[in-house]
Formats: sequence, structure tokens, C-alpha cells
Amino acid sequence: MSHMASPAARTDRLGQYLLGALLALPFLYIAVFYAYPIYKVVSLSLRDFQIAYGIDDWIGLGNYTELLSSAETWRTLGRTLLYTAICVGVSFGLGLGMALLTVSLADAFSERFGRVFRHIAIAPMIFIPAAAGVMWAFAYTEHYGWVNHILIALGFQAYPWMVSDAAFFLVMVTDIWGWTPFIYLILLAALQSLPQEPIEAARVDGANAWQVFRHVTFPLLKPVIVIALTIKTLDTYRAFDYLWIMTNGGPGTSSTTLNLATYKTAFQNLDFGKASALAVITMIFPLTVMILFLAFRRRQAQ
Amino acid sequence: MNRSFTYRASLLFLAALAALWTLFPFAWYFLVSLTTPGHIPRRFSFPDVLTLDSYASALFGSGAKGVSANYSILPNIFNSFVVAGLTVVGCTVLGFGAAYVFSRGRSTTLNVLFNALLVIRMTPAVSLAVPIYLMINTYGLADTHIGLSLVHIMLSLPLAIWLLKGFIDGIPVELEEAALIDGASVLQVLRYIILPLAAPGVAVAACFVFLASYVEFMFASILSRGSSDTLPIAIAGYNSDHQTFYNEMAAASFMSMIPLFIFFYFAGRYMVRGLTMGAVK
Repeated sequence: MSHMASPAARTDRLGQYLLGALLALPFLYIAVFYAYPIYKVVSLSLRDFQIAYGIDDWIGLGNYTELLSSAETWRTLGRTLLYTAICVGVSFGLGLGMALLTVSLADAFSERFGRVFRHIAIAPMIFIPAAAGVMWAFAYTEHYGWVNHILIALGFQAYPWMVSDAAFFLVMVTDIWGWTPFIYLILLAALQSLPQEPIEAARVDGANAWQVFRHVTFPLLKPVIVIALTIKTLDTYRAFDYLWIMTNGGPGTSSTTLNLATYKTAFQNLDFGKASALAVITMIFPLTVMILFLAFRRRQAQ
Repeated sequence: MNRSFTYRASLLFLAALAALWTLFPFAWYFLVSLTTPGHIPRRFSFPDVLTLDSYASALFGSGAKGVSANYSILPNIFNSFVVAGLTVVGCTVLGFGAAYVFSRGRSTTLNVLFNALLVIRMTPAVSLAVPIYLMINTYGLADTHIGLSLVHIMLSLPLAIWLLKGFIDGIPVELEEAALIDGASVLQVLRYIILPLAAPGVAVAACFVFLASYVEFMFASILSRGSSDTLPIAIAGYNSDHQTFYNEMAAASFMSMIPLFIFFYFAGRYMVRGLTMGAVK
């Protein structure tokens, strides 16, 4: 058991055991519902395991060689990374822009105006992802969606967006719409708690708005940006709801990311072995990022 | 500072653009929720009928058969609240003591365990889907509230512990020391000092855990066979291969955001802390 900050607690042996038990409680739970499934998914990935056909054989790395030699797997991986890169990049740009805009609005008009704009900026957060997914899918429907209504009003033809190759990118729009507030809130909180002296000093020295941002504000924000981008990147990579609800990974497989491929292989094709191998492949990227992130934090703490 | 008219006008213009981006989709969808089948505009215009019929239809399944959904979301609301409630209880009971130990203790083991929580939080849920599906089925917990909340507890436990630790960090350690010197046991300290002082933090953590469960989609869809469908599953379910009930879908979507409204009112200012697992306060 650890050294407790309180000297009195250290002398109380029974108390120490109790604290140890309190700490063990959630980790026992995690062992059952996280560690065991991780072990299980790795061991299943080495089997040809198809419940519906009563197949359950050990095939070693068979699932992996099959997956890695298939071009579709690599396309799926590419799509996943593209989805992540575009959503994170655009959300970050928009979120940072809107956070700076909020600060400028509060500064040029009133604090109250800034707060009102903040409510508007985070509005997408009050919709649950499933509802946001169906709402945006509806916006693209051929006869009832406002996107086509606007096109028609402008003299174009209606377009069946969700059954075209554009669908994948339209899901990204929803993701960006729904998750920009996440980046926005974090950056805004950081901006508002920045020390004002260096910024004032730079202004007094004659720096323009861009120079102040580039050389003073941005470096001060950097630690928060790293945290926000890491969490956002991994959350976007894990994204399931919007894609599943809006496209089911289609048309064809044109919007199937690793998450959806795992899900479809498991629960539509009932090929649990192959799905487990995909699940393991899916975990490689987030694990790498987490290790880098923890190393970064460690270095920062020193 | 540049406060010229042009500067202020361009700020306003950008603010209007941003508001259009975040609010317009809602506005259009809200109008759809206020219409009935056959009255959804087929071009860019205001609907000719505004009524709350679709809300009643979504809630009570009272819609005209064949035209509207003959389906009530009341059982789904009940399922969502039971599952989220069980998840809150589980996460709080399991997480509170550990959060206290993480807050007061210093050791390498604790650091490793604490970072492990972050790794767990960031693992793609779909990677756990197959084994968890098999486990839950083996124990006959598929399509039950308990089964789904067991999974939701695991998903939210890291966040709960991180948040609770953050709040317990803010409680001065002197209070406990005084109590311990006076002969109080660890459990008494937790019960009579930490818990009352951390109560607002527990409430905030409970809100986050509740919402995480309330909006969760993937496990809810895998583990349910109909009778334990939560609200997100019901909303997505209005859109089937055969027929789509746009009006009820929109009405149910807007009703589903009520808990989130309440959450933002009470715990909105802790949002950043929750979103970053306490990494940014």
C-alpha cells in the first residue's frame, strides 16, 4: 500500500488495508470487464470462430494474414485515418477560431455578449449523437432535406447525397458540427485563464494581433492544445455513432472505418475470429498515441 | 486595441455565420418535429401546419397507423433512465474510495494505475465488443438493464474516478488528520468528512456518468434485443429500411435533449474538466 499523505493514517494498519480494498474494488471490476475482454479478444483473434456455423478452430495468425493481405483492410485503415485527420483538423481550426472570436466579442462589445455567443457555439452539444446523426441524415434526404431545398432554390437539381460517395464526407460534417464545441470549450477556458501581462506587453511593444497570437498566445496555449488534440484524436478515431447511424458504412464500404468494419464483421457476418483480429488492429493506433502522450506528460512534469 | 466600426462589424458578421452553422440545422429539424406526415416542406419554405401531434405520437404511439409511427418511446425513456441510474450508482460506489486513495496517496503504483485509467478511457469500445457480447450472453444478461449498465459502468469508471479525485484534491487534508488523531477510522473519515465536502463533486461526476450512459449507442445496440432498447436506439430505429417516421424521429430527438439541458444548467461549468478527464481545469 502507498504512503499516505497523512501521518495518522500511516499508523492505522486496519485503515491501510481498508484503503487498499477501496482501491482494489474498481480495479477488480476493470479486470473482469476490461482486462479479461482484452485478453479474450487477442485469443479469439487467433481462432476461426464463427458461432453460426459451429466453427471454432485455432488458426494462429491466419486471420491477420488474411486481413493484412486484403486491399480492403488497408483502404479501411486509410479511411479511418482520413476521417480522423479531417475531423480533428477542421474541428480544431473552427474551435480555435470561435474561441478567439468569443474573446474578441467580449472585448469589443461586452462580457455578456461573449457569454451569449458561448451558449450559441456549444449548442450542438445538447443533442445526443444518435439524434444529431438522424438530424443530419435527414438534412440530406432527396425530397425533404434542406440541403437539396437550397440547391433547388438556387436553380440546381436535387442530389441523393447519402447514397453517393459524398456520404463519407457528409458524416465528417456532422462529426465536425457535433464535436467542435469540445475543442472550443477547452481552448476558450484556456484563453480566458491566460496571464494578461505578456499579451499587454507585446501590444505595448507594437506587435499586431497576428504577432501577439503567434508569438505569445499560441505558445502559452500549447500544453492545453496537446491535451485537447490527443483526446479529440482518439475520440474521433473511436467514433461510431454518426457513421453507423448515417451510412451504416455505405454505400458499399465507402464509409466503413476500422470501427465499423469490426462491428459489421462481428455482428452482421458473425465472424467473431476475424472481427477480433480487426479489433486488435484497431487498438494499435490509440495505444501508440497513448504511450506517446504519457511520455510527453512525464517529460513535461520533470 | 482596434475598435473601429469595420472591426466590430466583421466580428458580428463572423458571429452570425457561426450561429447559422450551429443553430440552423436545429431550427429546420425543429420545424419538422412540429409538422405531421405529408406536411414536411418539399421546398425551402415554412411548413403549412404547426402542431405538437408528432410529440404526442412519439410519446404515446398515438399516431395514425400506417402514416405515423404506432410506437411509444416511453419504455425507452424508462430503460435509459434505469440503465443510466444503475451506472451512476455503480460508478460512484466503486469509484469514490479509489478516488480518495488516488487523491491522498503518493506512489509509483498509484501513478501507473492512474495512467491505466486514461488508457482504458481511450480504448476503442468496439475492440471490447465481441468478448463483452459473449460474456453478457453467457450469463444471460443480454437485453437486460443490468447487463447494459455493467458495461456502461466499465466505460465510465475511469472518468468518474478522475473527476472525483479532482474534487477530493480540493478538500484540505488537515480536516482528516484532526479526525484521525481524535481516533476516527478511515471509513468514518470518508463517511463524515470527505463525502459531505465532496458532495457537489459527486453530483457533478454523477451527471457526467449519467449522460455518458444516456447517449451511449454501440453497446446499447449490441446488447439489446428490443425490450431494453434505450432512447438513442429508439431514435435511430425510426429510420428503417421499410419506412422512415421523420416527424416522430424529430420530436423524439428534441425530447431526448431535456436531460442534457438540465445537465448544462447545473454542471455546465465543469464541462471542460469532464471532457479532458480533469487534465484541464
